[in-house]
Amino acid sequence: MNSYFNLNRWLLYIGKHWNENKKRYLMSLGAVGGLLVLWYSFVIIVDNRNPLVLQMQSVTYFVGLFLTGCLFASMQFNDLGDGPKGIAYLLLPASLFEKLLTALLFSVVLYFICYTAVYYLVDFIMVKVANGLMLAKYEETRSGNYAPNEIINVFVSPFSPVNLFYYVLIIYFSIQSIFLLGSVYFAKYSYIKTLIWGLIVFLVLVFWEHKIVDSFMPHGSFFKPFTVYKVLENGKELMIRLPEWISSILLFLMMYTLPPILWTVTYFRLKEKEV
Amino acid sequence: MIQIQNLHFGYRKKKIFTGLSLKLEPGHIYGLLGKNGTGKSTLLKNMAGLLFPKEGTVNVLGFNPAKRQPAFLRDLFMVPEEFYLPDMPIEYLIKYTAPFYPKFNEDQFNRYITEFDIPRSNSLQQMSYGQKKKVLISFGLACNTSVLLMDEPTNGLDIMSKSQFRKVIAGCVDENKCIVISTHQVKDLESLIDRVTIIDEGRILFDHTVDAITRKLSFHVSYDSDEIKKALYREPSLRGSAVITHNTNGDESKLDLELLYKAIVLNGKAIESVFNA
Repeated sequence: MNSYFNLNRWLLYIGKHWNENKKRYLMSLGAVGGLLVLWYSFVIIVDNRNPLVLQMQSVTYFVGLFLTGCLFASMQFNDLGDGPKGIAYLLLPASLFEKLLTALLFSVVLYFICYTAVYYLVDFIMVKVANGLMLAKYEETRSGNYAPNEIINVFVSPFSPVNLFYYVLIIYFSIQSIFLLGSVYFAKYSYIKTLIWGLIVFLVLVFWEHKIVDSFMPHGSFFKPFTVYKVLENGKELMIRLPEWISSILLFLMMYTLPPILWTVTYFRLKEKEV
Repeated sequence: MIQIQNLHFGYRKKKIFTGLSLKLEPGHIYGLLGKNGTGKSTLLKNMAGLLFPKEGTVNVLGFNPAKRQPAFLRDLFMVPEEFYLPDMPIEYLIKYTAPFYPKFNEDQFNRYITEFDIPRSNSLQQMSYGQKKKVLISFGLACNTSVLLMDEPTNGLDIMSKSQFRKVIAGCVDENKCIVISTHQVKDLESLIDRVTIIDEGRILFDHTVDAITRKLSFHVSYDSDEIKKALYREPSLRGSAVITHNTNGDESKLDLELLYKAIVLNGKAIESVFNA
């Protein structure tokens, strides 16, 4: 039997994981749905003219996804911070690769699908409610226009020619992978600790960009991150571009490689975990 | 089956093992005795691959436990002192956890929990700590793994359960299994173990089979002041003194594990000299 991956064993492990956690997972989804209803109700109460415009729906979807998706990821390896649960987790005869794959399946794939489904369920109902209220108000006052809100498509941005939502989702999966790694690194309070460390690393990078990189680069600034640099000299602007193929590779690497790299780091961190 | 060579291990500031070597064979029940904090649990965790040696090697069933390969894990079961069982019915434990252990025998499991008086229909959530522990012990035994590690298994068990535990363990040992039981409640294991290993200050203080112990040492109550004086270890009791003497007549006496343990800790050299003679 393969030491790293065996399909039957993995399916067995998924079954066990689901049965032990289904109550918690379903309750969490219910809570997320409840919070979305509460938030939308609050928005409808404070703005009864046109509350659920597309911007509000998209901000709600993405802020909710970032907050809850990262929280969910940061709880995936909670067991390792609890001695008895950690022992049960590490001694169960499945490979660490299968255990990590299960964590990824539930936190990255299934959570995203379920959150989106719950969001649309709530969004559909609340937009209908908001439109109903708007119509009632319009019929009551007969002033202004009645323009019912549509349901947002969270995968295609209606606000700009480039699909901004696609990039936001890419950023989400990258940040979520940081929280997943954090849940293996930090035995307790991993969400808060990862958040703090993430901010520290971000500030260090900002400092690096502004103080260190600026000190040896010519006077100017990045016009496009990492690929086009604008030099300001004697009031003239000069653009320095990386060749197209290099910038394409860099862009690809920045967009798509962070999650797999961090998942790999998570695997190795999991391997060296002791309880 | 289990070979430990020159094991060095310590936590941040405290060194636990500095060059411990030990060899455990199948077909035996090993009693790992020692005071609190001497490293019994740490040793078991090193065997299970939950902790990694700083130096030296640990080999269990031909595997390096630290790699936590599934083939190794499915042939080893550990009953930790503080354990976790998910809140689900016993049926679910059988349905979702047992398939990971290819030698798991459900009939055996049913027999053990009947022996322990656990109602099969109960959910683990409704059970007391002792009942949960008995379920875990039953499950571990029914997995029929080659190595079974138990850390303070009798903690939290009532008097009846302790004797049920001894009965169940005695009935399940065979020539392919190696059972290691760590405890500081030595009385609980007296009639069970066939090899006594005592750890102190991170080293093996004493490691002999029960046969060899009862052949070389005599455990009895003595009223003879001369004998009491010459005893390897003595302890006043209500009637005379409980003593350990060198067994020169070939008489058989019943091993008093608690007395032996105290003798080893307080007068280990004298006891060991009998075995080295």
